Amino acid sequence: MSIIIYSPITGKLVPIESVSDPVFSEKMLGDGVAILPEEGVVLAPASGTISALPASGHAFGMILAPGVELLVHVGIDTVDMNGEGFTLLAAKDQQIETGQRMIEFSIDAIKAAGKDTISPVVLIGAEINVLAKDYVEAGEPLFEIIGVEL
Amino acid sequence: MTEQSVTLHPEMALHARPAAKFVQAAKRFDARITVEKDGKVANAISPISLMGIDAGKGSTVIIRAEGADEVIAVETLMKILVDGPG
Repeated sequence: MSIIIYSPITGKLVPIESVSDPVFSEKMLGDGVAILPEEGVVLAPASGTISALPASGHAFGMILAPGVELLVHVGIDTVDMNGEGFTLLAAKDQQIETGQRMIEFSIDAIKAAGKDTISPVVLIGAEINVLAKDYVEAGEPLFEIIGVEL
Repeated sequence: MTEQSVTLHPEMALHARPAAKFVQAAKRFDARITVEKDGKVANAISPISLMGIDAGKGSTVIIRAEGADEVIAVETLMKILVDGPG
């Protein structure tokens, strides 16, 4: 059975190529999708262990299988906000279940900081097949990972 | 094995964009490379593990490499961290 990644965020889907940061648009890490958030909540996109979760709460990463990693990044250059507007509901090394609340954030705070709210969900180390179209609710299937079995 | 302690550039931290650049450079070497901060060890070709050691601006890490090209690997990767975002 292929691995399904569930949307961490509710909002409009945008091609990853249109994200203003080349690390995402040029797929330097890997392929993915971007979401324009309509609600300031981030849910766990898969079950597993949180491998990276900075105190700033603007992003997190999971290692799904050896060499297969997932990065959820809330907004662009939001590391500069130093956690302002972000509330962490999970911790690094914690075991999480799909759909669990991980981060709450203020869309207005990101805009007030002059940052883009567009939020890339990137898969590192494997190909994806996007399942969602145009608009996605948090918790709905976002993409499946091709060629990796759990 | 070659190892080197490195203090990151004051504007350099191992978050998404710098980690991606670091991984792209590390992948060019055959040596097995790790980055350690405060006892937490990351695999240099794993972006998420690099982001997971919370190497913030100006922090000090140890780069270790093991393999035929370990010396040039450590030198190259050290330079990325010291020179900072460019």
